[in-house]
Amino acid sequence: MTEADSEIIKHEMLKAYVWLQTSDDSIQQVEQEVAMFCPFIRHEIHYGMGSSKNHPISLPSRVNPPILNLILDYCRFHQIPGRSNKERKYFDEKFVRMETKRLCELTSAADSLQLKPLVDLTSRALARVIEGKTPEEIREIFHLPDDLTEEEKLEPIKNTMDDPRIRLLNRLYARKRKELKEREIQRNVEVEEEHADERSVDDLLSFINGGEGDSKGTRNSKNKKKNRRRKDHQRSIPSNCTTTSNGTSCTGNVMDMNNEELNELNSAGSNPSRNGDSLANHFNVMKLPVIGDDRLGPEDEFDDCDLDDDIDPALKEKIDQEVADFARRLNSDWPERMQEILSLGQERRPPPLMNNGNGSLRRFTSIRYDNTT
Amino acid sequence: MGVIGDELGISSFPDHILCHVLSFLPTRYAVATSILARRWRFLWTRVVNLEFEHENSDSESEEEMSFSDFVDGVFLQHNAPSINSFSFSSGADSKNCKLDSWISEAIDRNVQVMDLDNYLLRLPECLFKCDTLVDLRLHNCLLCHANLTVSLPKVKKLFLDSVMYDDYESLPKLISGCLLLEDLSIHRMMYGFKDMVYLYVSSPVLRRIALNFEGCDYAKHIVELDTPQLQYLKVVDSISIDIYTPKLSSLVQAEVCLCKESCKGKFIDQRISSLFFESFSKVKYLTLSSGPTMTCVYTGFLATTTRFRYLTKLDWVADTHFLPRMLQISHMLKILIIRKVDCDVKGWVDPAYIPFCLSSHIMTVSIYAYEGREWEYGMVSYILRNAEVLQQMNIYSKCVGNDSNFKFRAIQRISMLPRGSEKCELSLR
Repeated sequence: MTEADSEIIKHEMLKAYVWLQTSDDSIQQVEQEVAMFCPFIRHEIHYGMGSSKNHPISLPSRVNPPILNLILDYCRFHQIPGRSNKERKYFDEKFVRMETKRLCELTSAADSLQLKPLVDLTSRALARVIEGKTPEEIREIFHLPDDLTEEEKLEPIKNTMDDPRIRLLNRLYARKRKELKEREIQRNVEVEEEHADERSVDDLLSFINGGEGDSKGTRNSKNKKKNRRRKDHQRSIPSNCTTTSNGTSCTGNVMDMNNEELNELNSAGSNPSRNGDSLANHFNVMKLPVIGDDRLGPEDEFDDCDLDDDIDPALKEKIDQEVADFARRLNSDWPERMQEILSLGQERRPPPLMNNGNGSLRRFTSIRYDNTT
Repeated sequence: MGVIGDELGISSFPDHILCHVLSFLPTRYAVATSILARRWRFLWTRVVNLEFEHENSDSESEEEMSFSDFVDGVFLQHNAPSINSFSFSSGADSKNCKLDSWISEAIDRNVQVMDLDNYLLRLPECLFKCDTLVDLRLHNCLLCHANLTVSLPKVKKLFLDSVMYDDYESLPKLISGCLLLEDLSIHRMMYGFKDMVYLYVSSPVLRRIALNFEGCDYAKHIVELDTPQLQYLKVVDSISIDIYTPKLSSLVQAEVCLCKESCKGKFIDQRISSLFFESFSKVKYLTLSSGPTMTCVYTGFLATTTRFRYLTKLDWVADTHFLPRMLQISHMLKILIIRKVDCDVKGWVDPAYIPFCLSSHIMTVSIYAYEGREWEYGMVSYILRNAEVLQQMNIYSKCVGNDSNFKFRAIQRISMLPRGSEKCELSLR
């Protein structure tokens, strides 16, 4: 019998099996229908791999033999279609009871094999491990390096007020500018309409009075979102902030209000006796989480000094104008007036400007009102 | 302590897996992980599930403020381009009007699952015009908008728990505004001012309805269904309910638990009977309870020519009086589950003719709350003797105090009974 013949015979016999090679180079033979439950393996089989011992499917390095066996147990149970949901749930609950280290390995391996249901199952289990534990306990269990400084861990508000918040505000400005710039590129016409929009406070008020809706969807909601953020932080920043947006005409009143609020937050932050569980105590720390310091995460790209970018200066002034309007309005008893307006003016006139480029209005209307079209 | 031997530990996870793990945590725990280690600092900002829970406490203002700031802060810092679910639960009275803005934020971020629980929360109208929402769950809220326009084109699942309505139109409007609605669950409806609860559900695509009016003792409930595609219906009611529906020809599974205290004489309510005899006649899975209303229904079965031709699984509180009849009209029954055995004075009487399903189809029988009483024993022995294809008989005894002896005796007695099926396995717990 030639080698080719025996290959063919082998192939016939092994039709229902696939060969898998793990990180330690050992090769295993597994029932095909079980292994196919993993998308990664299915993919490889589709491209002709795994049909013989000489051409095993090379599994990702995160899959070692004991973990592979666990995964195959899982697949073996779940690939049978006739099982009831209750049965599957019961199996899953028992299956996932293992020590944390193994759970991590299993999550890693399942992810590399693209076995999403198992990733979900193990991730949930890991979340349960994390939940309710102190940071020390969590670091212990997962061998995490304790590499943050004490200052970084503590409530930022306890530090000096100015720097972190200014930096945060700057970041927000930068972000908004970037987004506006992007939008500008996309929709030039509308942005120009924005330029032309020189509304007085009264006009703005009557706009709010008159109507809420427009259908600009994402664009305006982005505006809305950013402006709300800006508003929140605007309230918290003392008026002597040295931002590059010089249009801000923060008045003394704003400062008072800001300081008041800061004091409240301060005292709230320094009160240690909150919720029972220790990790949740840290949520007080995280009230305004990790604001402003040099080590940034996803906001890395917004360098503090890179604010005067190439945004249209008129637009920039527009933004500053908005901020100034806000500050002024926040100053007054705006919320009460809004309530009044709300309860009185139920009639809906069509808004004077459908194309609402002014993000500030969007923001207010979305907070207090319901968007009706 | 280094990471030797931990090449596959959590620190080796790619970011998206870590975020995935964090997404199963309530947000306050997820945020708190930011102080664990340098790498974890901003992971929480990319988590796609936001879950806020606020305990109501009496020392109000400071707590309120800090929780509210926390949520604001989260939304501010949160960075994921879109979120999957937003869940908010607060015991506090909803003077916390910021929830409106948080809901609106969530909608801006393409939320798909929203779960809101806040007593007397006035739902903002933006909630009803969301393009991305797929699953909406509301608890204890107020749905009172005079001219509500609803456009929820992707909502498939709706769960309304103790929601209060202003008028009879709001809810039907909500339902018909969900063009793809497949699954509707209503748990207690309340109308502020009316004594009668009227529910009108009309949807050409709705497949599952679960109604639970337990505890709503103050109102009569009238339900009108216009749901031709309905496959699953569940009704739980402890007071009086009238259900009007044209025949539900697609119905595959029904669960009915009517615990009405008083039944009008011996006559079954017309609508209930039509429900059973017409709409349920094609179901495959049936779950029924006991109670005077059901007794009326079962009595009706004694006389009727209705057959449950497709019924394969029956889960009910049996009555020794009606069990033989039920078996007789369910020819294809494979799985029989008996939650409790009620009995009238006659006890168990072996029926004259062996039901067809017993001899030919029944494969699994489970009996709960077994107490070893004579009629229970009689019933069990009858079944064991005549079930020729029975594979599994499970008997769960009712655990009452010093019962190991009793259990032992019961097990002994039953295992001695002759069995009509060779393959029958007995399991007693």
